[in-house]
Amino acid sequence: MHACHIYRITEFNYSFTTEAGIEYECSFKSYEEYFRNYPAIASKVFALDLYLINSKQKPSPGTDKRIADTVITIVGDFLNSMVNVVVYVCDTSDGRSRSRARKFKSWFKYYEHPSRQIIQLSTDMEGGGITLYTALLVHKKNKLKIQFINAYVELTDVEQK
Amino acid sequence: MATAANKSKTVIRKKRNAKAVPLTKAEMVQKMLADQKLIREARQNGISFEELEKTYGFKFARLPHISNH
Repeated sequence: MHACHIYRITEFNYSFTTEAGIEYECSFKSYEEYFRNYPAIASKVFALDLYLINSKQKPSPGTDKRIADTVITIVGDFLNSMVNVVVYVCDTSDGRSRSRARKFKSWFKYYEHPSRQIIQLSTDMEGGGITLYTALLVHKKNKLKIQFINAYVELTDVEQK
Repeated sequence: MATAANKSKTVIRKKRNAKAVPLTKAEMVQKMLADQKLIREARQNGISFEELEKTYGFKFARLPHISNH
């Protein structure tokens, strides 16, 4: 693993800087409100928010590969409790959500990598004419993984209104 | 002197009610994106997580120390 140096960890977020000097921040927001039909697991679902803090600089297309390792390290640590799960919703604001989804998906497909402890389930969620690219990340040893997966599939089901 | 009612008008978005109404799929998608954008922009403007929790009713995970860096 060649993770970026995570220079700051606060109660709420991780921060790191790429080789190009771009600063990212990562936090986990509760998604309990979307899983109210599943009271046993609702409080354990969190959305991963990953965003540029120093937004004056734009990342180059040949992105720093260490970003992937850094995010895997952060998410892996968060999931290591084997209690919580993470939902990732690709940002659609710049019209690059599809490529972002593809990239994110590849990060958790590494072979012989710490991410092998993480199950990834990716699916699209549609509503109001918008397609969201989403992924559920759950630790393989999470005892409630089947409940999380079922709830996530139901949440993202296109047939559901 | 500003009244409580006037003060509340300055809040861009009201804190969520404790009893939430179930959202439709379309509302859910829009809300997920809107919240994501709000948090990103707020953080880029230096607004603290505590402030985001207090003002908008978000709840953020308290993080463990990272083990392998």
